[in-house]
Amino acid sequence: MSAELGFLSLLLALGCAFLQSFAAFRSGKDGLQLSISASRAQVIAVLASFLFLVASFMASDFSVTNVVANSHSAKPMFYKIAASWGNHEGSMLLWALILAGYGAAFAQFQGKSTPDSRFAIGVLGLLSGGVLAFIVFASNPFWRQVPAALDGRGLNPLLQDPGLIIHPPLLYMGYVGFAVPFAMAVGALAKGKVDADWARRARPWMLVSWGFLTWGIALGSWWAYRELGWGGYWFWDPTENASLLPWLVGAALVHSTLVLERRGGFPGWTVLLAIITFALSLIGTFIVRSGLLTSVHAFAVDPARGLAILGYLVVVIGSAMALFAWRAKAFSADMKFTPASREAMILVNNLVMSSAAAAIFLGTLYPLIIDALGASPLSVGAPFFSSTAVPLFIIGMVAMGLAPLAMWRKGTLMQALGQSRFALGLALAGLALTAALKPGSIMGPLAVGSAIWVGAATTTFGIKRRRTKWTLDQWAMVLGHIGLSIAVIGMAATSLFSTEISKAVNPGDITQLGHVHARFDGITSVQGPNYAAERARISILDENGEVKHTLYPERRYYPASGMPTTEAAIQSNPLGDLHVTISALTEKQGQQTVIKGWAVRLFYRPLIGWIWFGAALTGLGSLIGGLGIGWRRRQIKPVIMQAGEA
Amino acid sequence: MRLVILLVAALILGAATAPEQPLDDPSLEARALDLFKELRCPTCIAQSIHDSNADIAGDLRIIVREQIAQGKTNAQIRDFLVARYGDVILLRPPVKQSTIALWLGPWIIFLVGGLIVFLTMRRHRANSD
Repeated sequence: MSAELGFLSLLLALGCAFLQSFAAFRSGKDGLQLSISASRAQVIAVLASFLFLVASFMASDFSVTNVVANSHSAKPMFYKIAASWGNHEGSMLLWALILAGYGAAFAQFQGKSTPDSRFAIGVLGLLSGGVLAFIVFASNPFWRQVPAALDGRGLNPLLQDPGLIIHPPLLYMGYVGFAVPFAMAVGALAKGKVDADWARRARPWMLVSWGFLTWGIALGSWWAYRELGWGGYWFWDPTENASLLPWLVGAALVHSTLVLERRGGFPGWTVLLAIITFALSLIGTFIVRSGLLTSVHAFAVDPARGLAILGYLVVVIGSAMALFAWRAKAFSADMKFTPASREAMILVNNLVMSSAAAAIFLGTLYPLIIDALGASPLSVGAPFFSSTAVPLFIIGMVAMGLAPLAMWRKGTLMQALGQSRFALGLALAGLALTAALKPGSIMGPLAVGSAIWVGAATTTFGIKRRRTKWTLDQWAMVLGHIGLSIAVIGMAATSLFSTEISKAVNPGDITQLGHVHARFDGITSVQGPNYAAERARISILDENGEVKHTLYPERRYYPASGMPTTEAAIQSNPLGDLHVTISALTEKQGQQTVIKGWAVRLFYRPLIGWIWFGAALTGLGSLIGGLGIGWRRRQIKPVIMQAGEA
Repeated sequence: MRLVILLVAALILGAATAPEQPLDDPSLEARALDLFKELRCPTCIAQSIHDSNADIAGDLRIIVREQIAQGKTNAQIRDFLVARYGDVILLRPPVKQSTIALWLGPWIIFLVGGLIVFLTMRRHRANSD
């Protein structure tokens, strides 16, 4: 029953979305009120639909095709619930729910501000309507099958991880949030103007989205670290790159919008960035969901569906770009600044972020282009991306340290550097130390030096203002920049100073890695809730041979999906992680594969935890800034409202 | 998904997983680890043989270590693997006619962007007081 109710709610939501849009585009005050009410009704209807889907999963209703394909009666309840959005159909519904939520929030807080925000509600309604129509016609999660299945086909055990349960919702909160500045940009292009007032209204939405996107990406990387292979945290996989693109352009966007807000500068460029950021968010969803680029996340490999998403993408991005091309000439600003002012530093940020995004876009699509041209296939992997993106980021970080110390409009390089002699000294010391520890490496020491520079220069900024009350903008900047500095130091240390060893072992054998002595004590068989496992006991010994810690890496086997997985044991502390995995040494005897022995693999990764700690801080800064500033500005009703009511 | 592919590959190959032992000479072992990071695991999406726990990645690690122990250069080992698997094995695409756009593209974009930034700054130039 809940599947039918879910589908009915979905139809209702579709109606509300088009009503929201239709009423907003029509003239008259009643139309605006109707549109705002429709946006509320829409979010309630999509939420109901989503909850009915969750109910089907909780009840393990195996007459619903989607539940059969993605759940299993033996799965713990927590993962049954999470399975409802861990698949193509469910995740599209979640996407629609979040879009409806942002749309209703925008209509509530800013819908009555100006004619262009009214237009934006209409655009948001159209975006929602398109996605809901796609779900109804091409991606229905409530489809039933006759006869009902006896049991489900499980979920990929790799995806049974708490990190991955909240990864998609957070990522979508980021991706979808950029629909608001996109709609506002379209509204401004069509009806209003792009000025400081527009920036004041739009920037909180950007900061909130960017903060969630930062958390979503970090969480995905943390999951990869613990679940995939041997603890890599970033593979430059097409799906990962797809999420990084809106993150990079979004970072450029929040900064150029700041210039627009404070100085009225770069209006055309800012609007273009707002359009591109959401376009890349859509492409990110498209890449993951269409199976265009095969990857670990591509659950849906269905060309008809891919074509529908592609059509949506072309219409949305194409019409916004056409509008931009037609109207952008109308926006220009007369703004003066020196080459060492904050505006100039933010321009460098925009240059670096856009170039890095372009490079990653090119690298991700290049194998496909080569394939389409019929040339011999090639791979574009981590060595390409790091040798291209890392030098760009280093340039960006030099400007990033200077920006808060520089003044708006005026100032020279010497004035900014003069305030940061301490930071500069610390950065050079870090650079020299890294170069001495790792002779021959060039990018490593530069990355460490520039990251320390950002952290120390930001700290200098904070110390200078220790007696004044900080604005939310300043909190967002300090947390965001220091978080990034910490994360980059973690990345550099991990890539420069990680050590590892792998060895075949017998019980009692001690494997040494640097200062770590690990004794393999043997294997026991254990039974999990829906898997069987072989669990090794590894004792970490101190200098006297006494046991300090015990670690239990596993090799798991999930009968429902029939695949063995490696479950690493990780011992973390702020200085670094010891990462232990076991693998079975097998031999084929006739039809049987027998286990002949075990091998232990030890990794030591210095400061790796800093990556996620730093990213969490950066996301937090952005969210505090966005939510705080947004809440304070919720009542902004500029004077143009009466004059421009269309 | 990745693991499904790996498991299927392992079943087809039916190969015994030989124990992996590091090379005795630490400098040769370090060279091997660096080389692992540039070679793609053939059954994975974007992982190198350094990061992957696929059987085929393990086999390739053994081959690379053997060849290093035999005194082969990195270039010789790469050539051997390219002959066997094609360019697709290299995570760092070789610089050649079909990859010029890939390697130069980002820097051309950066330079053109830099020029635009420079012109913007000149147009909006204020006195530095």
